[in-house]
Amino acid sequence: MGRGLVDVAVVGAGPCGSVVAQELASRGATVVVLDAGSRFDPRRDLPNDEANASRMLWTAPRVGAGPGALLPKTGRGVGGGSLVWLGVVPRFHPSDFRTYTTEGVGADWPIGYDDLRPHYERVERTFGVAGECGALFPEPYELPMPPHRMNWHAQLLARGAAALGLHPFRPPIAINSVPYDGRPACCYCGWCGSGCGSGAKADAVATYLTRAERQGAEVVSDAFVHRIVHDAQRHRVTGVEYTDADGCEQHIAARIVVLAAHAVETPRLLLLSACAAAPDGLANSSGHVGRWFMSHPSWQVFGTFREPVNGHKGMQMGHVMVQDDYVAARRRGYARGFVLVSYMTTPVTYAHLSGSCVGTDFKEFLYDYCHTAAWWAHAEGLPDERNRVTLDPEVTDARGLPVARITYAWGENDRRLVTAARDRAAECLDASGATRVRFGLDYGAHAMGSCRMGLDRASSVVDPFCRTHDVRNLFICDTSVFVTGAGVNPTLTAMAIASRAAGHIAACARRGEL
Amino acid sequence: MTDAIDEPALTVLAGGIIPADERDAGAAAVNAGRRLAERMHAGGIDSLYAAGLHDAERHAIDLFARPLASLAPNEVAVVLERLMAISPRFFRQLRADVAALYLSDPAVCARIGFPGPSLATGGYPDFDQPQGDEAAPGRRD
Repeated sequence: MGRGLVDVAVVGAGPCGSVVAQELASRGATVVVLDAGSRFDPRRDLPNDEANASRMLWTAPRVGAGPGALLPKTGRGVGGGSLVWLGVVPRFHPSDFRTYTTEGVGADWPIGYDDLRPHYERVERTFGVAGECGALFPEPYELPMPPHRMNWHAQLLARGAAALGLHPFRPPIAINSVPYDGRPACCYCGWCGSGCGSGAKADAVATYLTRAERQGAEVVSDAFVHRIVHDAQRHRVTGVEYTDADGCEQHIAARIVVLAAHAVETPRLLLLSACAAAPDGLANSSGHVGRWFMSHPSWQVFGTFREPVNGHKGMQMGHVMVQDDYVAARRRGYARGFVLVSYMTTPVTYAHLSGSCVGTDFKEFLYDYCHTAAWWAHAEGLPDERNRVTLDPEVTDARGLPVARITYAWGENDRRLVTAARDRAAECLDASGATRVRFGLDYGAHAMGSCRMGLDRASSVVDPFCRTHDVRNLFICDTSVFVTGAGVNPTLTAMAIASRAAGHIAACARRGEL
Repeated sequence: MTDAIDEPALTVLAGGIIPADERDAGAAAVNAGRRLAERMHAGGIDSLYAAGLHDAERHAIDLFARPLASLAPNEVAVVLERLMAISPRFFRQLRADVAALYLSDPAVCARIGFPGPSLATGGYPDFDQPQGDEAAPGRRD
């Protein structure tokens, strides 16, 4: 028997969809959250095993095209990317929302840091964040848990950074430093990217979704949403169609649809939902669905030491961060900024991050594992209209639906900036006493910006509260709406935006505007 | 059987990625060529691998006028370099697969000094302490 009409259907059970689900369920809405992936029980399903990641990452085909062809990692499963993420959650800086005004590049957001401040605080509290804001903070702020002690790996990295006059600090990270919200403190087992078996790492399931379910929300796993149903006469969406775990077609009728399927699958779903009234895709009268796709240019830089480092002991990422090169006054020959973040991982991922060396060099690199420390040099990639997600004209998924095609080219500023970030990391490792520095993989991290937010409906897809310009009861609450990507990890900001949008949706619904 | 045809070529390429030395037989220590051939013919990686192996054989003939499986290690290195430039997806996948097989062997983990899963034993209470000066067993100074 099918469900009756629900208030809200949320597509995507990652961090952003979960925020929306919980915040709306807590206000009395009937909410159904659908996710294409499975639901895992961390204690049963997520032992220390690098093979876990292949079950929790999007592995269906996608096509990378263009000179900078990239296929950023995205999550799949109830919990989304938060199952395999490493939990680093710094806030954006106020200047990140005004890049055009301050530096003449990118574009200004229609919202600013002040709009998000209460939502940052709310998410940090609910999710559970440990750390300090650092010497170069967006503003002084307190986090609900004390920072983690630096592992030995991070202490070595911090030593070099400090010797160069930089300000290494213990950044905000959504992994418990002390017991918090019924979850234990981290035991520093070092397997964060394979799913956290201890429960110390915050993920969407253990935090927002658990609360949402207590408040009556329903979570449907293995539900691949392939169409948003549009009523052209009423200019409204009326629900979603999905394929269930048994391969059967299902439909949910909803008063409001919220997309939170991340910056690749969200635009794909809008494009797949083309209909007579919206032949180029739903919510796409501007032609901007899929455009302005962004990633973070990044480089893994390794330093090998005479003494053991044992970087596998501790959280994989974020025991230490350097944010000094986020500051405009320090920049040389490029716009925007970058951060350095400690990042050492389990051996198979370590090998992957080494880049492309083979033969004796590769084998020596593998045998240097326990003696190696690493900075992840992570920079801002500027938006470019030509970087976009479209439907691939040839490749289809197992259901016969066109897959996402990501066309990408890095810009000149992106290249200069990430090269500076890489070189800064190498300089720090030298200063730490590394006997050998190696440049590893350079790649695009994170997916953002394919349904950008704006005031002008001709050049953006959603308004400042994430409502699509074209369809008043269709919202997008994920990194798709980013106008620029900033130089830090994006998830916290996406969750804060989702929290703000959820409040607005609830208020509009109360006023009968939806 | 088709995998019997592909196995020698995959063994040679895998050995080029992680070669034998005094520490172990490299990729051959974990039978990477055979296991990848089996996986390929089980269907998981067949199309990418089939196209990549075709390219590798072609490069071997173009560059050295001999089949891939007969090349010396220094010649395999040249073929791998060519694959990296011309068939990057296959190169990346092959390299990742060979490394994953190699590094999933507990004996290899022991040689590189990685103790493996630690959650069940309470993680690493000494994570923030100096890590001593004892080098990993397989490491060259």
